[in-house]
Amino acid sequence: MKRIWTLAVPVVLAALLAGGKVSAAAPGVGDCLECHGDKTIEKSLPGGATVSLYVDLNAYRASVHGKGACTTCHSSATSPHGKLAKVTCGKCHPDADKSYSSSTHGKSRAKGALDVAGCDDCHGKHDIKKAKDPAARSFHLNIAAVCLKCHMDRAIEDKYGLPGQQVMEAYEKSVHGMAATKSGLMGSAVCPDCHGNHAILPGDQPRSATHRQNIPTLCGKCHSGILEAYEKSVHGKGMRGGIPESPVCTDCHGEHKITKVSDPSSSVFAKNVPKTCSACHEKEGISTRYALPKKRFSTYMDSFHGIALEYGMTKAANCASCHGFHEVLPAADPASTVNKANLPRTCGKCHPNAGPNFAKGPVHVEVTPQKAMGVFAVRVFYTVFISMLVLLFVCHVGLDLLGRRRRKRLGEGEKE
Amino acid sequence: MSVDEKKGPSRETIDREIEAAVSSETTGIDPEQADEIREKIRRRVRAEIEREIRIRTAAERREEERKVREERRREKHHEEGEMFQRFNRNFRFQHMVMFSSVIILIVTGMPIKFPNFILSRFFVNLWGGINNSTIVHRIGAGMLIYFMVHHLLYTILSRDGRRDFILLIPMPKDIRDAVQNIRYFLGKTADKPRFGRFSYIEKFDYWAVYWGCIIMIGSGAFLWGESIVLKYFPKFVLDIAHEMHSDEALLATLAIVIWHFYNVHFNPDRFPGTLMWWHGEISEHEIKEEHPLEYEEIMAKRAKQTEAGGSG
Repeated sequence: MKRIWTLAVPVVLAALLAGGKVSAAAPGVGDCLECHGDKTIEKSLPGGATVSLYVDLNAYRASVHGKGACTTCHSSATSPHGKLAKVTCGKCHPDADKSYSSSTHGKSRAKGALDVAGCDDCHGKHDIKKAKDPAARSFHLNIAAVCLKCHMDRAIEDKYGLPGQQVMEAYEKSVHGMAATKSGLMGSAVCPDCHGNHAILPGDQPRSATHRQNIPTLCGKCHSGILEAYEKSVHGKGMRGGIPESPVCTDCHGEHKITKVSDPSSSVFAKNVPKTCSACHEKEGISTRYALPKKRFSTYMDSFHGIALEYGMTKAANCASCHGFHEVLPAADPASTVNKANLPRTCGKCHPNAGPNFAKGPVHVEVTPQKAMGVFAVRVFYTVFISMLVLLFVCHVGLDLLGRRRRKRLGEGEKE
Repeated sequence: MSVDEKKGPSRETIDREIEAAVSSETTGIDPEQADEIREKIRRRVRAEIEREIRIRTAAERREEERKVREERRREKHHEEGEMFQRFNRNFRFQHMVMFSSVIILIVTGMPIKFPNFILSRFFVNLWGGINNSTIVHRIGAGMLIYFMVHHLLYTILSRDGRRDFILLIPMPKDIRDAVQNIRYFLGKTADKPRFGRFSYIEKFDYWAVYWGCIIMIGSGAFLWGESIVLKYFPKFVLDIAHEMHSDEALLATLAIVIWHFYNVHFNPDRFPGTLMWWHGEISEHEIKEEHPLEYEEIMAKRAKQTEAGGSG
């Protein structure tokens, strides 16, 4: 190895001294492979590490660029040569180059961070294949592993303040991750489907595909029917109307950890729905600011529905059973499932005889004289009644016991 | 050998049987001792067989067993005296149905009233989850409804039932008794109130169950058939039924645990519990102490009977 280096340096120096005119006709693939076909050829880096300079001819020939010549990319290569100029893919792929340089990867790399993904990290070097080729690194079902090579690396995560490993692991277990790795579905959402490929940007930048306001559109790329329902809902309208607290898909479903509705760990699993909804609807600020009815969660949890659900009776109604989910609308809207006129039908899903009587009286029963006089009166009566009776019981029992003790002591006194 | 085979046996068969039993027991023992044992066995077997001959019908047999039991008890606590029947078989059965149903109802119902209580989840999971526990609650409810119907029929149709019902009606004497009892507790008076068959404490217990059953079964039926109820009543009626069911349940539980358990089962006279709910009998000692008026009544009745028997 050193032999080559020591040999190469004077030759290159001589070439440079001669004014660069020495460069003969561009070397062919065969010429390059004379040296680079040797599996032991390598170069040492300043740190002491070594990099193999071997090029697998077969892999190269099989690649998308396999019919070209080495010098197409390594334009400065001569035989023999020293350090070559950097390969610029943008020469032939200007669009990709443009969007890459606007991405967070491109920007960091431009600043000199070389451990940030460049073209070759995702696409490969000499063995580049078309994305449609199942052997390609950028193939739909392979790309997640390529991304995770860096994004599961703790050193890189720490250095750039990236989301932790558990986020990435959660993706692998998510419905999207399972669809890709386990079921091998081409329609599964893999990293670039949400985050973009060349133009990838962190979610906090407005131009990012994963920025909050772009989320519904993003998810709607695949889930278009649901996007349509969401756009009509109070949440969708609010989101489009610029209300920042209005929930987008990920607020209810989660992001990387997204799982099926039937999965008990899902945030939209029947048992977890009240917790998910109440994350916003129990917030004093939100209900006051948008004049929403209060105490929805606590009244629900006091009802049989809430308690039974908490114990695991998943057929008991949760928030979404009555209010709907993607198409949720305020009760005042005539199209809402919880509009008074529609309550019989909504309740009728579970209570087959549901009629207009279902709409008489509040559903979320707040026990106050104004909202539910009957229940309030019963509760007050029983509170007083129970306290009085228990007091009476305890006094009677207590006096009985005290009396017994007193008599026993008296009896003993008399004996003595 | 069963009783039926003993019906009308001749003297010889009995003797033969005794001899057979005796000789099988005494083979290979020295003659003097054997004679003694033989005589002993002979006596015992004869008594046994004669007793069996006496008992012809099931009723006679039960009576005989009761006498034997009483004998045994008297040997143990001779101060207890004669045993009187306080609760008949029918009444004890009702009580058993009721307390098993109430225990089931409390165990499956309370976790729904107090979901945050530390044992609630345990009691729900005891039945294999909430779906099963709600079914068990309805089984308990069915038992309680059966008890209520049984008791109403018992009150109307049986002589004991009618007598007890009348004796359970609250009277002015109960208020006087209550006042005197409190004074007795406090030591203001040396005399314990003299109760009849049912003290004011027991009357309170009885009517509490009556009231509780009506409210619990009524509101529970509303909740059970919620979709039928909502055909005829607005939803807030169901809300009220729900509230009543939940509050009355708490009241009933507290009444049972504090009032009934203390006064009837676990007070210092009875601690650690009484089996009266099982055998239904009260001793002379206890009846004189707790129901003196009833005791006097029984004695008066007996005196009359013997008088009538003597004169007739």
